[in-house]
Amino acid sequence: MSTVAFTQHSSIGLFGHSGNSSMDEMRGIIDKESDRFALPVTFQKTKDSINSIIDVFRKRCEPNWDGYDAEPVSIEACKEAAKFLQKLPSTIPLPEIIAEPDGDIGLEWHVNNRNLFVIGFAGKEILSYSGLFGKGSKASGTEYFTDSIPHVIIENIRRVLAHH
Amino acid sequence: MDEDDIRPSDGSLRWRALIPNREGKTSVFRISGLSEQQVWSIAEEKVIPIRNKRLVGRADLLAAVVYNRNLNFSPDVDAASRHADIIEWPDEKEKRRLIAMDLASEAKVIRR
Repeated sequence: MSTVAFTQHSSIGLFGHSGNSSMDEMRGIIDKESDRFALPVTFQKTKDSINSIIDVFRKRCEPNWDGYDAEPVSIEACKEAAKFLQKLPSTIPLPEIIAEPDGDIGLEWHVNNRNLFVIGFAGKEILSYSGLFGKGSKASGTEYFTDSIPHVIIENIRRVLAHH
Repeated sequence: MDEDDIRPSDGSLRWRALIPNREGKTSVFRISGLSEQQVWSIAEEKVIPIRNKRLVGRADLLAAVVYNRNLNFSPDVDAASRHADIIEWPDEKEKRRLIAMDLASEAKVIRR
């Protein structure tokens, strides 16, 4: 038996409404943090990533943004993901920013479809992570995230990037 | 769903497309024995009107791939509809995501 899942392209409502105060809040984070970075190039990349979080928030802040009853992305999730990016070592490439159907913000390092690592942020100081590292190796779990990035997260990011 | 469900860099399916909804179900259709035209007809008749979105493609998965991840199918009562849900996903979000990543790596994307 074969199964099929139909993949669709949103033709309407791609850009949802967003609260200006939330946007201002996110932009405020960027402006506030800009002074803390010693290397302008490093900061610029991080700033671009945080801007990507804002873009994702703007597009996914309404319920049912995926047509499958997805929850809106929360500002708390965005702020936590932005905080994570600010703490990410500059030697690690910046990830792709995605929205998850439960309203979390996801950071994804994708080498190919068998080598990828994803961290989900809900704004509750707990990260959920999932990774495929080749054909047989997998990892998933949760970690607290407050002031510093857990070591296991850094290890897993480096592990997936080693497959480049 | 939107254009992000197909990865632009390599045309592969993004795992997010397979994540179950709040009820723990991922909607699929059985296409065994159908012609290509019949498969696309299902999309036209049963998916597009409900989703109100423009169809750009589909992702095919073998049922065995789903069963091998300890998931199951719940077919609709009306078997003629060919609709089913993938069910019995783990409770933990990170495990659901991992299985969706694994399934997506096995899926074949077919653009319309």
